[in-house]
Amino acid sequence: MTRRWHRSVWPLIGVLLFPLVLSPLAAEEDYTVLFGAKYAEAEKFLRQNSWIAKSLRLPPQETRIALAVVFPEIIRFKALEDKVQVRALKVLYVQYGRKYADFSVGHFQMKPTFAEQIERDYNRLFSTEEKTAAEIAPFETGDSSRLRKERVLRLDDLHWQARYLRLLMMVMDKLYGKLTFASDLEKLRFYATAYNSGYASGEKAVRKRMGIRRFHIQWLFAKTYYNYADVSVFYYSRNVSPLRTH
Amino acid sequence: MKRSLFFALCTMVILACLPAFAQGQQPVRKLIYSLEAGEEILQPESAIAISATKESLTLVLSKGKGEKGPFFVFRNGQKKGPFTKLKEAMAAAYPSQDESAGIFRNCSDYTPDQGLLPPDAIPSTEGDESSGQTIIFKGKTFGPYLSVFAVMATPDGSRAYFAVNEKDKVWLICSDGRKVFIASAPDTIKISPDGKNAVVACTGSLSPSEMVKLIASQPEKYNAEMNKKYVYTIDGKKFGPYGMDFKDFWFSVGNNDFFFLDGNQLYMNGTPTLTLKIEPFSPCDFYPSADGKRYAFFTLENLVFSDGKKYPFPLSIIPFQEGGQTMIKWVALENNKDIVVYQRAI
Repeated sequence: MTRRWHRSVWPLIGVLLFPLVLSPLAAEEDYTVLFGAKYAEAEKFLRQNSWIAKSLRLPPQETRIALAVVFPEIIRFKALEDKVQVRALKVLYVQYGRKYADFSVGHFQMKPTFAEQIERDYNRLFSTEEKTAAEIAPFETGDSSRLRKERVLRLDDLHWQARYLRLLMMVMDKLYGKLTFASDLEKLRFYATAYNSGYASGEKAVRKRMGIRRFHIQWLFAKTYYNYADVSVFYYSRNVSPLRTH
Repeated sequence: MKRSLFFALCTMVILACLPAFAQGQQPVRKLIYSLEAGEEILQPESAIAISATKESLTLVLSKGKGEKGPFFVFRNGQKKGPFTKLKEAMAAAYPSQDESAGIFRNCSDYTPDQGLLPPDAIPSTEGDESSGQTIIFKGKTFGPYLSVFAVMATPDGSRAYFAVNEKDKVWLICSDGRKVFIASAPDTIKISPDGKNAVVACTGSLSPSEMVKLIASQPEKYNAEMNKKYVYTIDGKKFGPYGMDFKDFWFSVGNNDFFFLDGNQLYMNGTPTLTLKIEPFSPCDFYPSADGKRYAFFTLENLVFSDGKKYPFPLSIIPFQEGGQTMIKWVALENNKDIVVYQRAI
Protein backbone atom coordinates (compact mmCIF):
# COMPACT_ATOMS: atom_id res chain seq x y z
CA MET A 1 0.00 0.00 0.00
CA THR A 2 2.73 2.40 1.06
CA ARG A 3 4.78 1.47 -1.97
CA ARG A 4 1.74 1.97 -4.19
CA TRP A 5 1.20 5.38 -2.60
CA HIS A 6 4.77 6.25 -3.40
CA ARG A 7 4.37 5.11 -6.98
CA SER A 8 1.25 7.15 -7.46
CA VAL A 9 2.41 10.30 -5.69
CA TRP A 10 5.89 10.74 -7.24
CA PRO A 11 4.68 11.51 -10.75
CA LEU A 12 2.29 14.04 -9.23
CA ILE A 13 5.11 15.71 -7.28
CA GLY A 14 7.19 15.64 -10.43
CA VAL A 15 4.46 17.38 -12.41
CA LEU A 16 4.03 19.97 -9.66
CA LEU A 17 7.75 20.66 -9.32
CA PHE A 18 8.59 20.60 -13.05
CA PRO A 19 7.38 24.14 -13.74
CA LEU A 20 9.40 25.38 -10.76
CA VAL A 21 12.57 23.76 -12.08
CA LEU A 22 12.08 25.35 -15.48
CA SER A 23 10.60 28.56 -14.20
CA PRO A 24 12.50 31.83 -14.33
CA LEU A 25 11.90 31.92 -10.59
CA ALA A 26 14.50 29.17 -10.29
CA ALA A 27 17.12 31.78 -11.16
CA GLU A 28 15.49 34.22 -8.71
CA GLU A 29 16.07 37.35 -10.76
CA ASP A 30 14.10 38.55 -13.77
CA TYR A 31 16.81 39.36 -16.29
CA THR A 32 14.28 40.67 -18.82
CA VAL A 33 13.75 43.54 -16.36
CA LEU A 34 17.36 43.86 -15.18
CA PHE A 35 18.79 44.04 -18.71
CA GLY A 36 15.68 45.64 -20.25
CA ALA A 37 15.81 46.33 -23.99
CA LYS A 38 19.19 44.65 -24.31
CA TYR A 39 17.71 41.32 -23.23
CA ALA A 40 14.96 41.71 -25.84
CA GLU A 41 17.51 42.66 -28.51
CA ALA A 42 19.59 39.58 -27.72
CA GLU A 43 16.49 37.35 -28.00
CA LYS A 44 15.56 39.04 -31.27
CA PHE A 45 19.08 38.51 -32.58
CA LEU A 46 18.84 34.75 -32.03
CA ARG A 47 15.35 34.65 -33.54
CA GLN A 48 16.47 36.55 -36.64
CA ASN A 49 19.60 34.42 -37.01
CA SER A 50 18.06 30.97 -36.79
CA TRP A 51 20.85 29.72 -39.07
CA ILE A 52 23.16 29.82 -36.02
CA ALA A 53 21.19 27.03 -34.32
CA LYS A 54 21.23 24.98 -37.51
CA SER A 55 24.92 25.56 -38.17
CA LEU A 56 25.84 24.05 -34.80
CA ARG A 57 24.80 20.63 -36.15
CA LEU A 58 24.04 19.40 -32.66
CA PRO A 59 21.09 17.38 -31.30
CA PRO A 60 18.16 19.69 -30.33
CA GLN A 61 18.84 19.58 -26.60
CA GLU A 62 22.56 20.32 -27.06
CA THR A 63 21.65 23.17 -29.40
CA ARG A 64 19.44 24.72 -26.71
CA ILE A 65 22.27 24.46 -24.23
CA ALA A 66 24.80 25.95 -26.67
CA LEU A 67 22.58 28.96 -27.42
CA ALA A 68 21.93 29.52 -23.72
CA VAL A 69 25.67 29.34 -23.03
CA VAL A 70 26.38 32.36 -25.26
CA PHE A 71 23.13 34.26 -24.61
CA PRO A 72 24.47 36.48 -21.75
CA GLU A 73 27.36 37.52 -24.00
CA ILE A 74 24.90 38.59 -26.70
CA ILE A 75 23.26 40.86 -24.10
CA ARG A 76 26.67 42.31 -23.27
CA PHE A 77 27.48 42.82 -26.94
CA LYS A 78 24.14 44.58 -27.51
CA ALA A 79 24.84 46.85 -24.53
CA LEU A 80 28.31 47.83 -25.74
CA GLU A 81 28.26 47.61 -29.53
CA ASP A 82 27.44 51.28 -30.19
CA LYS A 83 29.92 52.56 -27.62
CA VAL A 84 32.90 50.32 -27.83
CA GLN A 85 35.19 49.43 -30.68
CA VAL A 86 38.10 47.14 -29.98
CA ARG A 87 40.11 47.97 -33.09
CA ALA A 88 43.24 49.11 -31.22
CA LEU A 89 43.21 45.91 -29.16
CA LYS A 90 42.99 43.81 -32.33
CA VAL A 91 45.99 45.68 -33.75
CA LEU A 92 48.04 45.12 -30.58
CA TYR A 93 47.16 41.42 -30.56
CA VAL A 94 48.20 41.01 -34.19
CA GLN A 95 51.37 43.02 -33.53
CA TYR A 96 52.51 41.59 -30.19
CA GLY A 97 50.39 38.52 -29.47
CA ARG A 98 49.38 36.93 -26.20
CA LYS A 99 50.03 39.90 -23.88
CA TYR A 100 47.19 41.71 -25.65
CA ALA A 101 44.87 38.73 -26.20
CA ASP A 102 42.41 39.32 -23.38
CA PHE A 103 39.63 41.27 -25.08
CA SER A 104 36.19 40.28 -26.33
CA VAL A 105 34.99 40.32 -29.91
CA GLY A 106 31.59 40.11 -31.54
CA HIS A 107 28.15 38.82 -30.58
CA PHE A 108 29.46 35.92 -28.51
CA GLN A 109 32.20 38.11 -26.96
CA MET A 110 34.88 35.57 -27.79
CA LYS A 111 38.46 36.35 -26.83
CA PRO A 112 41.56 35.52 -28.86
CA THR A 113 42.75 33.46 -25.85
CA PHE A 114 39.57 31.38 -26.13
CA ALA A 115 40.02 30.90 -29.88
CA GLU A 116 43.67 29.89 -29.39
CA GLN A 117 42.66 27.31 -26.75
CA ILE A 118 39.80 25.87 -28.82
CA GLU A 119 42.01 25.60 -31.91
CA ARG A 120 44.73 23.79 -29.94
CA ASP A 121 42.22 21.42 -28.29
CA TYR A 122 40.45 20.67 -31.56
CA ASN A 123 43.77 19.84 -33.19
CA ARG A 124 44.89 17.53 -30.37
CA LEU A 125 41.64 15.89 -29.19
CA PHE A 126 40.09 14.90 -32.50
CA SER A 127 41.31 12.24 -34.87
CA THR A 128 41.72 12.88 -38.58
CA GLU A 129 38.50 10.90 -39.19
CA GLU A 130 36.60 12.97 -36.63
CA LYS A 131 37.86 16.18 -38.20
CA THR A 132 36.82 14.97 -41.64
CA ALA A 133 33.37 14.11 -40.29
CA ALA A 134 33.11 17.52 -38.60
CA GLU A 135 34.10 19.18 -41.88
CA ILE A 136 36.42 21.55 -40.07
CA ALA A 137 40.07 21.38 -41.11
CA PRO A 138 42.75 21.39 -38.41
CA PHE A 139 44.05 24.82 -37.53
CA GLU A 140 47.48 25.97 -38.60
CA THR A 141 49.74 25.97 -35.56
CA GLY A 142 52.37 28.48 -34.52
CA ASP A 143 52.33 32.04 -33.31
CA SER A 144 52.94 34.56 -36.05
CA SER A 145 51.46 37.93 -36.87
CA ARG A 146 49.81 36.37 -39.93
CA LEU A 147 48.13 33.61 -37.91
CA ARG A 148 46.97 36.09 -35.29
CA LYS A 149 45.51 38.32 -37.99
CA GLU A 150 43.65 35.36 -39.50
CA ARG A 151 42.31 34.51 -36.05
CA VAL A 152 41.05 38.07 -35.48
CA LEU A 153 39.34 38.00 -38.89
CA ARG A 154 37.67 34.73 -37.92
CA LEU A 155 36.50 36.22 -34.62
CA ASP A 156 35.07 39.18 -36.52
CA ASP A 157 32.96 36.82 -38.62
CA LEU A 158 29.68 35.70 -37.05
CA HIS A 159 29.73 32.46 -39.05
CA TRP A 160 33.10 31.69 -37.51
CA GLN A 161 31.85 32.58 -34.03
CA ALA A 162 29.08 30.01 -34.54
CA ARG A 163 31.75 27.51 -35.66
CA TYR A 164 33.84 28.23 -32.55
CA LEU A 165 30.70 27.64 -30.46
CA ARG A 166 30.18 24.31 -32.17
CA LEU A 167 33.82 23.46 -31.48
CA LEU A 168 33.35 24.43 -27.83
CA MET A 169 30.48 21.97 -27.49
CA MET A 170 32.54 19.26 -29.20
CA VAL A 171 35.60 19.93 -27.04
CA MET A 172 33.51 20.09 -23.85
CA ASP A 173 32.05 16.72 -24.75
CA LYS A 174 35.56 15.29 -25.13
CA LEU A 175 36.82 16.81 -21.89
CA TYR A 176 33.76 16.48 -19.68
CA GLY A 177 31.55 13.99 -21.53
CA LYS A 178 31.87 11.43 -18.75
CA LEU A 179 30.61 13.76 -16.04
CA THR A 180 27.10 13.08 -14.85
CA PHE A 181 24.76 15.99 -14.29
CA ALA A 182 21.60 15.83 -12.21
CA SER A 183 19.69 17.71 -14.91
CA ASP A 184 20.11 19.63 -18.14
CA LEU A 185 20.06 22.81 -16.09
CA GLU A 186 23.03 21.64 -14.06
CA LYS A 187 24.85 20.73 -17.23
CA LEU A 188 24.04 24.18 -18.63
CA ARG A 189 25.35 25.82 -15.45
CA PHE A 190 28.61 23.94 -15.82
CA TYR A 191 28.98 24.68 -19.54
CA ALA A 192 28.04 28.38 -19.17
CA THR A 193 30.50 28.89 -16.32
CA ALA A 194 33.19 27.06 -18.28
CA TYR A 195 32.60 29.26 -21.33
CA ASN A 196 32.59 32.48 -19.35
CA SER A 197 35.55 31.77 -17.08
CA GLY A 198 37.77 29.38 -19.02
CA TYR A 199 36.79 25.80 -19.83
CA ALA A 200 40.31 24.41 -19.78
CA SER A 201 40.92 24.90 -16.06
CA GLY A 202 39.35 21.57 -15.13
CA GLU A 203 36.13 20.35 -13.53
CA LYS A 204 37.00 21.37 -9.98
CA ALA A 205 37.90 24.93 -10.90
CA VAL A 206 34.81 25.36 -13.07
CA ARG A 207 32.52 24.02 -10.34
CA LYS A 208 34.17 26.34 -7.82
CA ARG A 209 33.37 29.34 -10.02
CA MET A 210 29.76 28.35 -10.67
CA GLY A 211 28.28 30.55 -7.95
CA ILE A 212 30.48 33.60 -8.46
CA ARG A 213 28.97 36.86 -9.68
CA ARG A 214 31.45 38.25 -12.16
CA PHE A 215 29.36 39.02 -15.23
CA HIS A 216 28.43 42.61 -16.08
CA ILE A 217 27.51 44.62 -19.16
CA GLN A 218 29.54 47.79 -18.58
CA TRP A 219 32.90 48.47 -20.21
CA LEU A 220 34.33 49.59 -16.83
CA PHE A 221 33.08 50.59 -13.37
CA ALA A 222 30.36 47.96 -13.18
CA LYS A 223 28.13 48.54 -10.17
CA THR A 224 26.27 45.25 -10.35
CA TYR A 225 27.68 41.85 -11.08
CA TYR A 226 25.59 38.86 -12.08
CA ASN A 227 26.11 35.15 -12.11
CA TYR A 228 26.72 34.26 -15.75
CA ALA A 229 25.20 30.79 -15.46
CA ASP A 230 22.04 32.23 -13.86
CA VAL A 231 21.43 34.35 -16.94
CA SER A 232 21.95 31.35 -19.20
CA VAL A 233 19.57 29.24 -17.13
CA PHE A 234 16.99 32.03 -17.12
CA TYR A 235 17.08 32.27 -20.92
CA TYR A 236 16.99 28.50 -21.32
CA SER A 237 14.05 28.17 -18.96
CA ARG A 238 12.01 30.78 -20.81
CA ASN A 239 12.73 29.12 -24.13
CA VAL A 240 12.10 25.48 -23.41
CA SER A 241 11.36 24.97 -27.11
CA PRO A 242 13.36 27.67 -28.82
CA LEU A 243 13.96 25.51 -31.85
CA ARG A 244 10.25 25.43 -32.55
CA THR A 245 10.14 29.20 -32.78
CA HIS A 246 13.27 29.43 -34.93
CA MET B 1 72.53 65.20 -77.04
CA LYS B 2 73.53 63.38 -73.82
CA ARG B 3 73.08 66.59 -71.84
CA SER B 4 69.54 67.22 -73.15
CA LEU B 5 68.59 63.61 -72.43
CA PHE B 6 69.91 64.02 -68.88
CA PHE B 7 67.87 67.21 -68.39
CA ALA B 8 64.76 65.57 -69.80
CA LEU B 9 65.17 62.65 -67.38
CA CYS B 10 65.76 64.99 -64.41
CA THR B 11 62.65 66.99 -65.34
CA MET B 12 60.56 63.82 -65.51
CA VAL B 13 61.81 62.63 -62.12
CA ILE B 14 61.11 66.03 -60.51
CA LEU B 15 57.64 66.19 -62.07
CA ALA B 16 56.89 62.68 -60.86
CA CYS B 17 57.96 63.59 -57.33
CA LEU B 18 56.18 66.95 -57.15
CA PRO B 19 52.77 65.65 -56.03
CA ALA B 20 54.48 63.66 -53.31
CA PHE B 21 56.24 66.73 -51.92
CA ALA B 22 53.11 68.85 -52.32
CA GLN B 23 51.07 66.42 -50.23
CA GLY B 24 53.67 66.15 -47.50
CA GLN B 25 54.08 62.42 -48.01
CA GLN B 26 56.71 61.90 -45.32
CA PRO B 27 54.98 61.54 -41.98
CA VAL B 28 56.19 63.57 -39.04
CA ARG B 29 57.18 61.17 -36.24
CA LYS B 30 57.20 62.10 -32.58
CA LEU B 31 58.02 59.89 -29.60
CA ILE B 32 55.52 60.87 -26.93
CA TYR B 33 56.20 58.49 -24.06
CA SER B 34 58.12 55.29 -23.26
CA LEU B 35 56.47 52.79 -20.94
CA GLU B 36 58.54 52.04 -17.85
CA ALA B 37 59.32 48.52 -16.74
CA GLY B 38 56.15 46.87 -15.41
CA GLU B 39 53.98 49.64 -16.76
CA GLU B 40 51.25 49.04 -19.32
CA ILE B 41 48.41 50.90 -20.97
CA LEU B 42 45.21 50.11 -19.06
CA GLN B 43 43.34 47.46 -20.97
CA PRO B 44 39.96 46.47 -19.62
CA GLU B 45 38.02 43.81 -21.51
CA SER B 46 36.46 46.05 -24.14
CA ALA B 47 38.78 49.01 -24.63
CA ILE B 48 42.30 50.27 -24.26
CA ALA B 49 42.83 53.58 -22.45
CA ILE B 50 44.59 55.42 -25.23
CA SER B 51 42.97 58.34 -26.97
CA ALA B 52 44.14 61.16 -29.14
CA THR B 53 42.75 64.38 -30.49
CA LYS B 54 44.25 66.78 -33.01
CA GLU B 55 46.19 68.47 -30.19
CA SER B 56 46.84 65.86 -27.53
CA LEU B 57 47.33 62.28 -26.48
CA THR B 58 45.97 60.76 -23.28
CA LEU B 59 46.98 57.47 -21.72
CA VAL B 60 45.88 55.72 -18.56
CA LEU B 61 48.72 53.55 -17.31
CA SER B 62 48.67 50.68 -14.88
CA LYS B 63 51.61 49.35 -12.93
CA GLY B 64 49.71 46.59 -11.22
CA LYS B 65 47.79 43.63 -12.45
CA GLY B 66 44.82 44.51 -14.66
CA GLU B 67 42.46 46.94 -12.98
CA LYS B 68 44.27 46.94 -9.62
CA GLY B 69 46.75 49.74 -10.09
CA PRO B 70 48.54 51.88 -9.02
CA PHE B 71 47.54 54.04 -11.97
CA PHE B 72 49.18 56.94 -13.75
CA VAL B 73 47.84 59.37 -16.29
CA PHE B 74 49.79 60.80 -19.19
CA ARG B 75 48.07 63.90 -20.53
CA ASN B 76 49.22 67.11 -22.25
CA GLY B 77 52.80 65.85 -22.17
CA GLN B 78 52.80 65.31 -18.40
CA LYS B 79 52.58 62.23 -16.24
CA LYS B 80 50.43 62.39 -13.11
CA GLY B 81 49.97 59.88 -10.33
CA PRO B 82 50.07 57.45 -8.71
CA PHE B 83 46.32 57.04 -8.29
CA THR B 84 45.23 54.15 -6.15
CA LYS B 85 41.70 54.13 -7.50
CA LEU B 86 40.94 53.69 -11.16
CA LYS B 87 38.02 56.12 -10.95
CA GLU B 88 40.39 58.89 -9.85
CA ALA B 89 42.79 58.11 -12.68
CA MET B 90 39.98 58.10 -15.25
CA ALA B 91 38.66 61.42 -13.93
CA ALA B 92 42.14 62.94 -14.21
CA ALA B 93 42.56 61.53 -17.71
CA TYR B 94 39.17 62.52 -19.07
CA PRO B 95 37.68 65.54 -17.26
CA SER B 96 34.77 65.61 -19.72
CA GLN B 97 32.81 62.77 -21.28
CA ASP B 98 33.62 63.98 -24.80
CA GLU B 99 37.32 63.41 -24.31
CA SER B 100 37.03 59.72 -23.51
CA ALA B 101 35.07 58.95 -26.69
CA GLY B 102 38.25 57.96 -28.54
CA ILE B 103 38.94 55.04 -26.26
CA PHE B 104 35.52 53.61 -27.02
CA ARG B 105 35.04 54.20 -30.71
CA ASN B 106 37.91 54.45 -33.12
CA CYS B 107 36.04 54.49 -36.38
CA SER B 108 35.81 56.74 -39.43
CA ASP B 109 32.12 56.01 -40.01
CA TYR B 110 30.39 58.87 -38.17
CA THR B 111 27.81 57.75 -35.60
CA PRO B 112 26.04 60.47 -33.63
CA ASP B 113 26.28 59.81 -29.92
CA GLN B 114 22.70 59.61 -28.64
CA GLY B 115 23.90 59.15 -25.07
CA LEU B 116 24.80 62.84 -24.68
CA LEU B 117 21.31 64.13 -25.45
CA PRO B 118 19.40 66.16 -22.84
CA PRO B 119 16.15 64.36 -21.85
CA ASP B 120 13.82 66.69 -23.80
CA ALA B 121 15.91 66.22 -26.96
CA ILE B 122 15.48 62.46 -27.04
CA PRO B 123 12.79 61.97 -29.68
CA SER B 124 10.04 59.65 -28.51
CA THR B 125 7.42 57.87 -30.57
CA GLU B 126 3.93 57.42 -29.20
CA GLY B 127 0.82 55.62 -30.38
CA ASP B 128 0.43 52.65 -32.68
CA GLU B 129 -0.46 52.01 -36.27
CA SER B 130 -4.21 51.90 -35.59
CA SER B 131 -4.37 55.34 -33.96
CA GLY B 132 -1.40 56.83 -35.78
CA GLN B 133 2.07 57.53 -34.38
CA THR B 134 3.41 60.86 -33.22
CA ILE B 135 6.96 61.99 -32.47
CA ILE B 136 7.67 64.31 -29.56
CA PHE B 137 10.91 66.29 -29.76
CA LYS B 138 11.78 69.23 -27.49
CA GLY B 139 8.16 69.63 -26.47
CA LYS B 140 6.85 69.76 -30.04
CA THR B 141 4.61 67.05 -31.45
CA PHE B 142 5.02 65.87 -35.05
CA GLY B 143 2.35 63.75 -36.71
CA PRO B 144 0.24 61.70 -36.43
CA TYR B 145 1.69 59.43 -39.08
CA LEU B 146 0.60 55.98 -40.24
CA SER B 147 3.94 54.68 -38.99
CA VAL B 148 7.41 55.86 -37.99
CA PHE B 149 10.31 53.97 -39.59
CA ALA B 150 13.37 55.64 -38.10
CA VAL B 151 14.24 58.51 -35.76
CA MET B 152 17.64 60.14 -35.13
CA ALA B 153 18.65 63.26 -33.19
CA THR B 154 21.83 65.30 -33.58
CA PRO B 155 24.20 64.93 -30.58
CA ASP B 156 23.76 68.60 -29.61
CA GLY B 157 20.00 68.04 -29.44
CA SER B 158 19.27 70.88 -31.86
CA ARG B 159 17.54 68.81 -34.53
CA ALA B 160 15.86 65.48 -35.04
CA TYR B 161 15.26 63.64 -38.30
CA PHE B 162 12.58 61.04 -38.88
CA ALA B 163 11.33 58.82 -41.70
CA VAL B 164 7.56 58.36 -41.62
CA ASN B 165 4.64 57.01 -43.59
CA GLU B 166 2.08 59.76 -44.07
CA LYS B 167 -0.98 58.84 -46.12
CA ASP B 168 0.89 56.03 -47.88
CA LYS B 169 3.79 58.28 -48.82
CA VAL B 170 7.17 58.04 -47.12
CA TRP B 171 8.85 61.26 -46.02
CA LEU B 172 12.17 62.26 -44.51
CA ILE B 173 11.45 65.09 -42.09
CA CYS B 174 13.66 67.41 -40.05
CA SER B 175 12.40 69.12 -36.91
CA ASP B 176 13.63 72.44 -38.41
CA GLY B 177 10.84 72.26 -41.02
CA ARG B 178 12.53 70.55 -43.97
CA LYS B 179 10.48 67.73 -45.44
CA VAL B 180 11.29 65.63 -48.50
CA PHE B 181 9.47 62.81 -50.25
CA ILE B 182 11.43 59.55 -50.33
CA ALA B 183 10.28 56.51 -52.24
CA SER B 184 10.20 53.82 -49.57
CA ALA B 185 10.98 52.99 -45.96
CA PRO B 186 14.70 53.35 -45.13
CA ASP B 187 16.47 51.15 -42.59
CA THR B 188 18.39 53.99 -41.05
CA ILE B 189 19.04 57.74 -41.20
CA LYS B 190 22.64 58.96 -41.42
CA ILE B 191 23.39 62.44 -40.06
CA SER B 192 26.35 64.68 -40.98
CA PRO B 193 28.80 65.54 -38.16
CA ASP B 194 27.55 69.17 -38.14
CA GLY B 195 23.96 67.87 -37.88
CA LYS B 196 22.73 69.94 -40.84
CA ASN B 197 22.44 67.18 -43.40
CA ALA B 198 20.73 63.81 -43.32
CA VAL B 199 20.77 61.04 -45.89
CA VAL B 200 18.79 57.84 -46.35
CA ALA B 201 19.11 54.92 -48.74
CA CYS B 202 15.86 53.33 -49.89
CA THR B 203 15.21 49.99 -51.52
CA GLY B 204 12.86 50.32 -54.49
CA SER B 205 10.42 53.13 -55.14
CA LEU B 206 7.14 51.52 -54.17
CA SER B 207 4.82 53.09 -51.65
CA PRO B 208 3.90 50.84 -48.71
CA SER B 209 0.52 49.92 -50.24
CA GLU B 210 1.98 49.32 -53.72
CA MET B 211 4.52 47.03 -52.12
CA VAL B 212 1.84 44.89 -50.49
CA LYS B 213 -0.12 44.69 -53.77
CA LEU B 214 2.88 43.75 -55.92
CA ILE B 215 4.19 41.02 -53.59
CA ALA B 216 1.03 39.02 -54.27
CA SER B 217 0.10 40.06 -57.80
CA GLN B 218 3.44 40.59 -59.59
CA PRO B 219 6.26 39.04 -57.58
CA GLU B 220 8.75 39.38 -60.45
CA LYS B 221 8.14 43.10 -60.75
CA TYR B 222 8.35 43.39 -56.98
CA ASN B 223 11.70 41.57 -56.89
CA ALA B 224 13.10 43.73 -59.70
CA GLU B 225 12.09 46.84 -57.76
CA MET B 226 13.67 45.50 -54.58
CA ASN B 227 17.01 45.25 -56.39
CA LYS B 228 17.14 49.03 -56.86
CA LYS B 229 18.71 51.46 -54.39
CA TYR B 230 18.08 55.19 -54.19
CA VAL B 231 19.86 57.77 -52.05
CA TYR B 232 17.98 60.85 -50.81
CA THR B 233 19.15 63.90 -48.87
CA ILE B 234 17.06 66.09 -46.60
CA ASP B 235 17.64 68.92 -49.11
CA GLY B 236 15.73 67.08 -51.80
CA LYS B 237 18.52 65.53 -53.84
CA LYS B 238 17.91 62.06 -55.24
CA PHE B 239 20.54 59.68 -56.65
CA GLY B 240 20.01 56.33 -58.35
CA PRO B 241 18.76 53.82 -59.08
CA TYR B 242 21.81 51.74 -58.27
CA GLY B 243 21.80 47.97 -58.54
CA MET B 244 22.71 45.03 -56.34
CA ASP B 245 26.32 46.25 -56.14
CA PHE B 246 25.31 49.21 -53.96
CA LYS B 247 27.28 48.61 -50.76
CA ASP B 248 26.96 51.34 -48.20
CA PHE B 249 26.42 55.05 -47.55
CA TRP B 250 27.91 57.11 -44.75
CA PHE B 251 29.40 60.31 -43.39
CA SER B 252 33.04 60.20 -42.30
CA VAL B 253 34.17 61.70 -38.99
CA GLY B 254 35.11 65.37 -39.44
CA ASN B 255 33.66 65.52 -42.96
CA ASN B 256 30.18 66.86 -43.78
CA ASP B 257 30.14 65.39 -47.28
CA PHE B 258 28.32 62.12 -47.69
CA PHE B 259 29.75 59.10 -49.44
CA PHE B 260 28.34 55.98 -50.96
CA LEU B 261 29.88 53.01 -52.68
CA ASP B 262 28.31 51.30 -55.69
CA GLY B 263 30.47 48.37 -56.74
CA ASN B 264 33.96 49.81 -56.75
CA GLN B 265 32.80 53.34 -57.53
CA LEU B 266 33.00 55.81 -54.67
CA TYR B 267 30.62 58.78 -54.80
CA MET B 268 30.99 61.99 -52.80
CA ASN B 269 27.78 64.02 -52.53
CA GLY B 270 26.48 61.95 -55.46
CA THR B 271 29.46 62.67 -57.75
CA PRO B 272 31.84 59.83 -58.73
CA THR B 273 35.29 60.49 -57.30
CA LEU B 274 37.35 57.32 -57.02
CA THR B 275 37.47 53.70 -58.08
CA LEU B 276 38.32 51.65 -55.02
CA LYS B 277 39.81 48.19 -54.94
CA ILE B 278 39.57 47.46 -51.24
CA GLU B 279 38.24 44.10 -50.12
CA PRO B 280 36.63 43.78 -47.65
CA PHE B 281 35.54 47.41 -47.51
CA SER B 282 34.25 49.04 -44.34
CA PRO B 283 33.40 52.76 -44.04
CA CYS B 284 34.72 52.49 -40.48
CA ASP B 285 38.21 51.92 -41.86
CA PHE B 286 38.08 54.44 -44.71
CA TYR B 287 39.45 57.98 -44.24
CA PRO B 288 38.75 60.19 -47.31
CA SER B 289 40.45 63.49 -48.13
CA ALA B 290 38.34 66.64 -48.20
CA ASP B 291 37.99 66.48 -51.99
CA GLY B 292 37.24 62.74 -51.93
CA LYS B 293 40.07 61.99 -54.35
CA ARG B 294 42.60 60.50 -51.94
CA TYR B 295 42.23 58.36 -48.86
CA ALA B 296 43.84 56.37 -46.11
CA PHE B 297 42.58 52.93 -45.23
CA PHE B 298 43.02 50.91 -42.06
CA THR B 299 43.85 47.22 -42.07
CA LEU B 300 44.79 45.17 -39.02
CA GLU B 301 48.43 45.46 -40.02
CA ASN B 302 48.78 48.83 -41.71
CA LEU B 303 47.47 52.28 -42.40
CA VAL B 304 47.51 52.33 -46.20
CA PHE B 305 47.42 55.62 -48.12
CA SER B 306 46.09 55.94 -51.66
CA ASP B 307 49.61 56.81 -52.84
CA GLY B 308 50.59 53.25 -51.91
CA LYS B 309 52.53 54.03 -48.74
CA LYS B 310 51.90 51.83 -45.71
CA TYR B 311 52.61 52.44 -42.03
CA PRO B 312 52.48 49.52 -39.61
CA PHE B 313 50.08 48.86 -36.73
CA PRO B 314 48.11 52.09 -36.25
CA LEU B 315 46.21 52.08 -32.94
CA SER B 316 44.26 55.29 -32.81
CA ILE B 317 43.54 57.28 -36.00
CA ILE B 318 42.43 60.90 -35.98
CA PRO B 319 41.50 62.76 -39.19
CA PHE B 320 41.30 66.56 -39.15
CA GLN B 321 41.40 69.52 -41.55
CA GLU B 322 44.38 71.85 -41.51
CA GLY B 323 45.48 74.43 -44.08
CA GLY B 324 43.01 73.15 -46.64
CA GLN B 325 44.29 69.59 -46.33
CA THR B 326 42.95 66.51 -44.62
CA MET B 327 45.55 65.40 -42.12
CA ILE B 328 45.78 62.01 -40.48
CA LYS B 329 47.35 61.58 -37.09
CA TRP B 330 47.87 58.10 -35.73
CA VAL B 331 49.36 56.48 -32.67
CA ALA B 332 51.58 53.39 -32.70
CA LEU B 333 53.19 51.28 -30.00
CA GLU B 334 56.74 50.57 -31.15
CA ASN B 335 59.23 48.18 -29.52
CA ASN B 336 56.38 47.21 -27.18
CA LYS B 337 57.08 50.34 -25.12
CA ASP B 338 57.36 53.51 -27.21
CA ILE B 339 54.16 55.51 -27.77
CA VAL B 340 54.75 57.28 -31.06
CA VAL B 341 52.52 59.75 -32.90
CA TYR B 342 52.71 60.13 -36.67
CA GLN B 343 51.09 62.75 -38.84
CA ARG B 344 50.80 63.31 -42.57
CA ALA B 345 48.39 64.64 -45.17
CA ILE B 346 46.20 62.19 -47.02
